[in-house]
Amino acid sequence: MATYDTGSLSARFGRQFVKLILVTTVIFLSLPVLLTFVSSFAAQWVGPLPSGFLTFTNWGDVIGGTGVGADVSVGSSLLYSAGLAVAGVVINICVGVPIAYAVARYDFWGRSWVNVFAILPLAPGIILGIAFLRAYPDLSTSGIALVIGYSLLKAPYMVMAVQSSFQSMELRRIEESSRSLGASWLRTFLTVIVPNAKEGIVAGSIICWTLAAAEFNFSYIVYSRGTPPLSIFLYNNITNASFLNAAAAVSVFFLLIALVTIALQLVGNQAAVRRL
Amino acid sequence: MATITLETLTKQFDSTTAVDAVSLTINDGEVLGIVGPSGCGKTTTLRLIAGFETATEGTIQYDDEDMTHVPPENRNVGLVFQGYALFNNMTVRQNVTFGPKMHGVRKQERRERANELLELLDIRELADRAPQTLSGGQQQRVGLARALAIEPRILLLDEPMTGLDAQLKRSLRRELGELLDELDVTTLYVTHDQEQAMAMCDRIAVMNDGHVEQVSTPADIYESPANEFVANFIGTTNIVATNTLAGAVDTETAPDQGSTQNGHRQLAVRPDDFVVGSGPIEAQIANLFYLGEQVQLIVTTGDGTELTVHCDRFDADGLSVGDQITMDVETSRIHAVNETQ
Repeated sequence: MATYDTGSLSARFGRQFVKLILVTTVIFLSLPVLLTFVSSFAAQWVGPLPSGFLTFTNWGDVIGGTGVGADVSVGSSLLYSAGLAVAGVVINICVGVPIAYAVARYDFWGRSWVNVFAILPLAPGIILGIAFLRAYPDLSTSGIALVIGYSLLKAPYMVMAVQSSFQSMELRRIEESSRSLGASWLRTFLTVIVPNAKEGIVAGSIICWTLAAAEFNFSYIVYSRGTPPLSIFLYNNITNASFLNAAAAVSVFFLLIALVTIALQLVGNQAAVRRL
Repeated sequence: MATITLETLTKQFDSTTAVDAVSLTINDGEVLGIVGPSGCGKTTTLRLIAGFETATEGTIQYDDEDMTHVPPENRNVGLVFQGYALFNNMTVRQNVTFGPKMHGVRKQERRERANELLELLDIRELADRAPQTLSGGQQQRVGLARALAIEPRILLLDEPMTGLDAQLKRSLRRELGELLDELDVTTLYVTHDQEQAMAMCDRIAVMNDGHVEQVSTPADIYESPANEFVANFIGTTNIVATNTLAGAVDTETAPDQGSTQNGHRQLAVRPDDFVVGSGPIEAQIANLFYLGEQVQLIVTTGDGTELTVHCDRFDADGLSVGDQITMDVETSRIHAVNETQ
């Protein structure tokens, strides 16, 4: 049996050291988010820390659209971005899930190329944005351009999340069992394969929606007029408003992301609980 | 239920012939086993019958109906895999009613059918559970109930007990055997486990390298293997030349068919057909393995031939490696075998 030297440095302090690194990293990463959220309820921030708690003035300004110097309220911008991201996720599901299935299930000529092309849009949004403007100059002024761009940019996250779900399943046997029981290929795919990959689809949707709703680079290049996506709204107006107003606007976005994430996870968990 | 007939069925994958002109009949209500080593073509044959592979040549008939090019969903076959492939997004009952639903059976009727099968397989209380919360044995029963729910023309079992522990395998083997007898459903049982096949099947087809080497009852295959491959694959066999058994074998009456090697006929003798204690064959124990009910002796005869011998554990009392023993074997227990082509 293996024996361990309990007197060595790694045995005595290893676990504590890892904990310390972990806690430090978590604090370092979450502090800006936490500070922004907390400061959105402050009346002023002149010293090292915000002060004058607790006020909802900043939130009122943001939601009412009066304080951030914008010609539209953050609410409409937020809803617009949320809608664009939802549309992007729907496209990602419709296109990404079949691609992930084909790559995970079938061995066909060009399979590795399909896989590469599904992941290729991980290219920076700014590059894709310029290419989009060149290729589809007429489309680029509409929301459709943003939806297509978001879905293209975020597709790899959907494909990878769903693919990992498929890879943990006995796809061929499940498909063949279903077909031997009388289900057509399409019915098998829709009623057996896709529901079995629900966890992957939910995870992919959370990632795609969150990243699409906050996408800046592509939006900055492609957006030209009308209601701005949230990221553009924040960029345009943070400089015109007080930091505390901007903090409230960002906090609204954080909250929305948290709510969507929790909602999607609940959908996934509900499916799991129903099965138990 | 149906009689399944394969006529010169062939399947090629690029330059590899997985199934080579196999002709086979599975009679109505019969349980036919296909056994053979990995890569011999047994699973490909099953997949051809199910419709998941397209035959390169030959035909598949269900009764008088040509099914060679019919898609799998229209063949009405029940399929049980090694991993059961249950649908984890459905409850046990939903798994069982899925097939009848696809066949357009009304809700009430498919629910009744599912309850009947779950009762028959003694898993009624698991009806509302999720498949992934069940043990291997329970999952196997669900897989079987699901396959039987469509009242299949043929039930295809592809290594359904692989991965289960030995005790569970034994109890499920008995239950499955009784169930198939009771339902009288035409069944193809593909396995590499010859013991399972011997215990459960009415007839066995031994496959090797895409060919069927022998089709017969389990007893006939064990007692009268058609060739060296079957003799070696089904159970343990000693393939020896006649002179090794000199004295024990009446060369006048010993089987005279079969091939020769170095001028001597090839003979097959099962390890448990030797009688240890007295007889004309002298040998030295090279190794000894205690197997529980039996003891396996590896012995070397005077001409240097190594034989595997099984004897009762009480008869092996006092024997040890290096001991000289004498053995006998009845001529009627010796079979001539052809070398495998």
